[in-house]
Amino acid sequence: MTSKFCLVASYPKSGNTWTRLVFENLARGSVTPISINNMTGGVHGFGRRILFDALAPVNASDLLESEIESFLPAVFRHFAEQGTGQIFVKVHDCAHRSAMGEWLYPPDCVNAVAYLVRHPFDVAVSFAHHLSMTLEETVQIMGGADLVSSQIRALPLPLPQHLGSWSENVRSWLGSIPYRVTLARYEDIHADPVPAFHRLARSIGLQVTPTEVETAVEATRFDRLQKEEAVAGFREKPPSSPSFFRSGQPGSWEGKLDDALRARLFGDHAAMMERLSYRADGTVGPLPQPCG
Amino acid sequence: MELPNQVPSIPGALIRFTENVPTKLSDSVRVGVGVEAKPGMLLLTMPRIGRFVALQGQSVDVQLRSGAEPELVRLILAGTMRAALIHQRGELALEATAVVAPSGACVALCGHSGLGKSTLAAALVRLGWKLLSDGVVRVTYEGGVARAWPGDGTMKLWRNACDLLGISTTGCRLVRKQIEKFYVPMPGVETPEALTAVIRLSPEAACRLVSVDGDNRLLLLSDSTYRVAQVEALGMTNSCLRTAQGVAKQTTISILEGARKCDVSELAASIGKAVA
Repeated sequence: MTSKFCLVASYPKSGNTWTRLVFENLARGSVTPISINNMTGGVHGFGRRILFDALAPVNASDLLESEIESFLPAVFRHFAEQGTGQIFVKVHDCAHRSAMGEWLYPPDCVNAVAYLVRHPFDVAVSFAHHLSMTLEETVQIMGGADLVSSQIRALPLPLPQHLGSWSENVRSWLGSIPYRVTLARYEDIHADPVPAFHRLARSIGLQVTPTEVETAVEATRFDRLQKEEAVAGFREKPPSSPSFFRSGQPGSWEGKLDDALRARLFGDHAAMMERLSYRADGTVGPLPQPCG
Repeated sequence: MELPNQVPSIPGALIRFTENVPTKLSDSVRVGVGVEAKPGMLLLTMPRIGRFVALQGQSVDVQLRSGAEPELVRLILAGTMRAALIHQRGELALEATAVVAPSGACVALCGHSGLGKSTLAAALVRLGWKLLSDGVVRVTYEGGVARAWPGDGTMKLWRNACDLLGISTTGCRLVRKQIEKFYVPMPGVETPEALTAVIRLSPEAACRLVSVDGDNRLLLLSDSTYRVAQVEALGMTNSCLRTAQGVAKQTTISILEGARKCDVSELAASIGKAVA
């Protein structure tokens, strides 16, 4: 038996969890909403490290970052070969190859990619909350080359990730890569979730009706997710972050990001923002076609 | 670096450096990346390092490539290959750090890599406990007694953990040249000890010790087994299960919540209280 990955890829805080929850609800045809803590595990978060250690010849904690990356494609392939059906995989890395020249996610194991973007002003505010960092530090990270923690003194948990800058992350997934990628903007999904998720779901091979999508969207309403997190916690939340589901509202940067930080974000990411119709004043224009 | 020719914790088991390790096993099952197994044999192939075959629970034959990094060879021998020998003998290879309390109680701290087993064990050693084994702990069950076996007397600790606990790394051998992780010698016990408790670390928010009952005890031992997929491919499911049943009968089994979230001294105090 063998399974295929559907990569739900994005820079952090761009709607990844919401999208995976909708996909999981649709794929499982669940009558009751799927818990935020009951999404398919195994290939992201701490589960990725556990999977790696179960299959690699040496535990990740004794390997160098480049060695971990060189084993990951084979680990993912082995995992896919043992499974069945479609597995939704949360991805925040750039689309990239290991030092050995292999794509991190072997293309023949990947059925489709849903790539999500969000206005970088909102990403900055949400990501700062997530990282428990200042907005200045977060804006710097979003414009920097990479967010790979130093491995010198301890292996980052769960495993090192290559986010790239916000622009690099978007560029990598919309570039020439051996995957079938469908782009969706968070703002478009938020404005009209049923048709947006219906289009995304069909693009990854889920044959579902708008009514089924409507049910899944209702099951994953933001206030429900917030409530569940408040009661039961969320295993993907970093320990330092006060909560994972913060606001979810487009435009929540207003009143938080000052002129200088907005100018810096636009300066760092102008080309990619313009390509996605993310304007310097924080508004969002219509997405030019084709894009992605 | 000098490579060992004996396997820690398995008296009599030898490591032999040869030129005759097979490139493939016939009728084997793939149990990991570059790892295949069948009854009596497990073959590991690692690019740029070489090939390793574990035979009948008695020996590991190694064929190294020229320029193979000795630190990685040592890690493969101490991890996957030692676990293979233990499984081939029908025993338990726990992913754990085993420590002995001043009272004599022997505790195996289990859990996935990254949850802080070694750091917690080192904190206990600072409180007067002794190290038995770190990494892969061999556990046997014979004559109605579950025993944990001594390792090589060192514990692998990151620089961060050493700094946290005030442990000097002067003179300690590096696990790899490129990272600040050390083999830290610890006051240890050099004889097998009757295992009294198995405690699995879990990353919930609050520090709490929860007792495990019924079938969940065997499940916990299975989840805590190093490279558990090897067991079935080696044809040792029944033997290893019998060992696990014996261990489950003879030891208290619990889960320590709060790993990585709570202060290590709080976790250590919780274990100290439970053992007392």
